[in-house]
Amino acid sequence: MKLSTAAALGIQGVLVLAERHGSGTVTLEEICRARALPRDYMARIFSLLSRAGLVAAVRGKHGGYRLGRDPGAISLLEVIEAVEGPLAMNLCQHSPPRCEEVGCPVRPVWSDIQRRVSSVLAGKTIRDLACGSSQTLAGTLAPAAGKHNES
Amino acid sequence: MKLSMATELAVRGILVLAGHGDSPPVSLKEICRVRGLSRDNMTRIFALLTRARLVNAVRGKNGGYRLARPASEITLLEVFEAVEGPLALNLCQQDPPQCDRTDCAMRQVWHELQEQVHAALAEKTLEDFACVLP
Repeated sequence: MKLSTAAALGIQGVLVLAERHGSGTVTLEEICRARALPRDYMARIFSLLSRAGLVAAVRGKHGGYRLGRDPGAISLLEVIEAVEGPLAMNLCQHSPPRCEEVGCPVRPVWSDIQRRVSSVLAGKTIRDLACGSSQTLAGTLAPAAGKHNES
Repeated sequence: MKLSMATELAVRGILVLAGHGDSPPVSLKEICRVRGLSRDNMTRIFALLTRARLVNAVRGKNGGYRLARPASEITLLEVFEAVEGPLALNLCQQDPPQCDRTDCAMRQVWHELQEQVHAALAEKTLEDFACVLP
């Protein structure tokens, strides 16, 4: 029971964008260089993130990627689900369930674990995790975002 | 992020034994028949459960498997770890950590998840599930 490599890479990539949020687009090359990520695999992962609207692809000479929303409005759960598909700890936790044993006594355990994992992941935003320091980043981004809205 | 199919099968298989109480050993064939499981995978999975001493293999004509301890003393976590190895939701949660970034902000999140999943699995014993089975 562990996070897929694809989801872990997706999180790393989105964190790079979060750290540079508000300063234009970042090319995939640059994202990969920042965290030593595999270029080919990242192309596929960023197309998934892009399809989920978490990042926006900008074409052209100064093209690249930027976050699709404010980093405080993107949860870790969204990034993981964009890459892995809906969170499902076991077959019975898919929607619809992929196990027909409706009366299975273990199902409530998976459902409990699923609820806990989902709630922890949904409670963390990309802003909380970027730069390794939630305080600094939240402090610098929040006023900047506010100013931007007023102007 | 999901349970491996091997663990799912192990839970199903060992619950058959838990439902049998102190009765004679149950053959692998019978275990598979009861839950409609594939024999090939189950041989390997029961070897892992045996190695972890959750079940005992009894040789001979009326041989088979039985729980090594009362169902109330075997947790779901033990079954999980017998098959998948130590629970680790991400590289940094392995012992020792398989990721060198000690200051990574994500590590706390994985640690919190790991503790919650660990607790949920450790608090359930086979006895909690066995009675409902045929």
